[in-house]
Amino acid sequence: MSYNNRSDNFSVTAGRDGSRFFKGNHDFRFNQGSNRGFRGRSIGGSRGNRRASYRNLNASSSRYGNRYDRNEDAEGDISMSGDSSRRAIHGRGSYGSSRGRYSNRGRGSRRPTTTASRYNQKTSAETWFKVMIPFGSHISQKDLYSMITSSIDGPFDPVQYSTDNKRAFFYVKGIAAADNIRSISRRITKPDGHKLILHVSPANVPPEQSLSDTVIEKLKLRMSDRYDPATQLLNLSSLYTDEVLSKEGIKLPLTRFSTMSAITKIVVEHIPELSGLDVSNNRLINLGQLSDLVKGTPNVASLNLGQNQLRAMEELEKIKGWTNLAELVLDGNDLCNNYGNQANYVSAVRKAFPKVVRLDGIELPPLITFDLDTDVKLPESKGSYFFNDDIKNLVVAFIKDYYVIYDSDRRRDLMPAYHENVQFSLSCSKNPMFEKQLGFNSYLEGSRNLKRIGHLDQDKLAKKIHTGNLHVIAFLEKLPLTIHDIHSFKVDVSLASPTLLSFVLHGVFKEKDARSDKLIRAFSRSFVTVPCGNGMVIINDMLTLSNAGYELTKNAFKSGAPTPSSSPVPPSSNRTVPPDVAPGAPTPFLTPDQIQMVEKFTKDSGMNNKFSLKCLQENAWDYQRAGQVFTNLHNESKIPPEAFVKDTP
Amino acid sequence: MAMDLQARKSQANTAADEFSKIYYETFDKRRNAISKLYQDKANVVWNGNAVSGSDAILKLFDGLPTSEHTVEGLDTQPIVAGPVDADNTNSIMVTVFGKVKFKGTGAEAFTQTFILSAAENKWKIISDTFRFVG
Repeated sequence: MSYNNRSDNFSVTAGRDGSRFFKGNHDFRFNQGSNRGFRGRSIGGSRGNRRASYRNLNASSSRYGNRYDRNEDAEGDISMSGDSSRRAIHGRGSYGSSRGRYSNRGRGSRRPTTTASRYNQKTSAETWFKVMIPFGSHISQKDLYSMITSSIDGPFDPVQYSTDNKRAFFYVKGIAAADNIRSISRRITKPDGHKLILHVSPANVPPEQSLSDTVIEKLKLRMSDRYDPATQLLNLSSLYTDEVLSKEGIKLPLTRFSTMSAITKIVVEHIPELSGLDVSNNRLINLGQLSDLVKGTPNVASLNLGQNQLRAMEELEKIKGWTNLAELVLDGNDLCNNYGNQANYVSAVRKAFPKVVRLDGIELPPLITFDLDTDVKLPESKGSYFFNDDIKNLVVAFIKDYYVIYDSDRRRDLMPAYHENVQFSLSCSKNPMFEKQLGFNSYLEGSRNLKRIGHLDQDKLAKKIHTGNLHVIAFLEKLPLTIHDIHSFKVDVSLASPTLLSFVLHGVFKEKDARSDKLIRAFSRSFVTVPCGNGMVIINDMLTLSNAGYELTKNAFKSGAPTPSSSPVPPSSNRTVPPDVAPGAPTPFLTPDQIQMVEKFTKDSGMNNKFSLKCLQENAWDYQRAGQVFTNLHNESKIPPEAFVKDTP
Repeated sequence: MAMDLQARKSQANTAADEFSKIYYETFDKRRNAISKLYQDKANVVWNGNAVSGSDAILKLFDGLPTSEHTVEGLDTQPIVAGPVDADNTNSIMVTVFGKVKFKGTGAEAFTQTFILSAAENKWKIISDTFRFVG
């Protein structure tokens, strides 16, 4: 989605001091005894009414600079939640006992307690380890890596993934990586309820290096000779004895991972339209290495697997993504002997490839099937959805402004974005895709999840909806400081009417105090807003938190997220420091007592709570004095009418 | 029938709890009945694909493979912003976080936000946004 469009109509106005207001509040000071505070000037403007021009000023990106500047200044002082989030760290030591327990099964005498004992430090970082996952072929590579990534403590850089009938394999480099993998064996529950077992053993042969560029170039030339553009058939039959390549001293068995991955890359890049493939006579034992090729070449209708060493029909499951396969040769493989008669053989083949009409060169009678949509697929996911461009401009500007402040250390500046009677609640859930993951210690206390609390405990549940702008801001200020990846944002507008606009924002963020940069949280935030002045204010705010999955984590903060230092803005000389910010000393927002005081003052004075708060703050929380100042000013009719305007309903 | 906020919060809790069970049970096992839970002019945004009206919604859902939802997180708030449309004055927002497995693909985490509105003592969905968390 694009954040380039801005609508001036709904933009936030920013004062020179960097404070922002979501609607046309007037800066109005309850200074004791002096009339100088009641000039009724516009926010930030000290020379008459220049409000109109502020909106234009806003559009410049420099105002974000102020905000980031301030973050930077205060960063060293942030301590709001640091200790509690650190408690979430899982001690690696606690898994030490399992190290080595599941490795090297069946190797009897070689059962070291730690792998490190057998390697000196110098070589240990260079050693390759092979990881075997029993029944791993039943999980997709993506899901497997997701599960491991989210549980492992440290980097995870697997190479050369492969599968056979039941197992999955990959390699990792270095003892540290191997021990990390070993430590989470049997710690993760798979979707089928069984524990994920990871056997780690030193690799007898290191994973194959990928082919050199010169070899790849030669292979490419050879493939181009062996490809017939007219029939779109690629003939890779007996590749390991290819005359031309052999003369150059190059041997490229298809059984080798590096060969197959190079071929896959070339095909997918140059001839994705491929409709026929001949890999006969290549000593193929399993077809797992073809799975990437299957994904890249959906049109393959003719396949020759003849004269290989395939033993079981189940191998075909790995390539059944070639759903249009009409012609297949399997003759010359051991698996053909598994069937007593031709009918059984044909029906076994048709289990994987129902559309096959020619098998081993023999026409098959057509298969009679039922008319049920069997290949229903999920519709493709799309980007943000806004009813129309007006709403888009409005919502995008709102979100952008909101998160600049939310990611700062002054969430209290979000006050004008909220309706007086706003409700906010937070709901945390573990990501159901992973077993082990970092928790939400800093959030759990405030989390409201009906699946955990149960809807019968109405009192407890009610307390966890923070109601009223003061309570909401006070709560938001207690949550860990964050950095959101604005490039990850997706917005869905769910309702748009003249009286109400609701939208759901999805994205990722990280915590400023997080111990690891890899800890990425996913959130979705559902807002209901109502019009207010020439903007809007939030009346419902629901935040759902979880840990991001493998894909989201990998892509988070990739597209040049703004960093605090990347937008240096010279400090403006006439920038005024708001009275409640002493530089360098973060002041708590409001204590429960103070919130109570504001509520009482609102009731007694008849002003709205924003003005009541201001009056109390400027009179140093002296209720009597604030009341006296208010009464005096009120008697002199010097309080602007908007002080008495309350949010409806 | 003006209810105070406390009562509306309790009402929302009960409704959301029941709704999450009924909705996913219907979606997973009797999907052709799902449109009954939607108001005639409801909006659905499914992974960015927007449709509106109960017929179009049923058509969208009918085109999805068999599913199996598991709810992990559930929250709700009453909406006190006044009427969300002319007929309905009582509405709630429900957020769901969970896991869904569509046949033919791996399980995915999802998040979904509903706005429900009560008319003639029946809760109906007037808005539904769904996304995979990825």
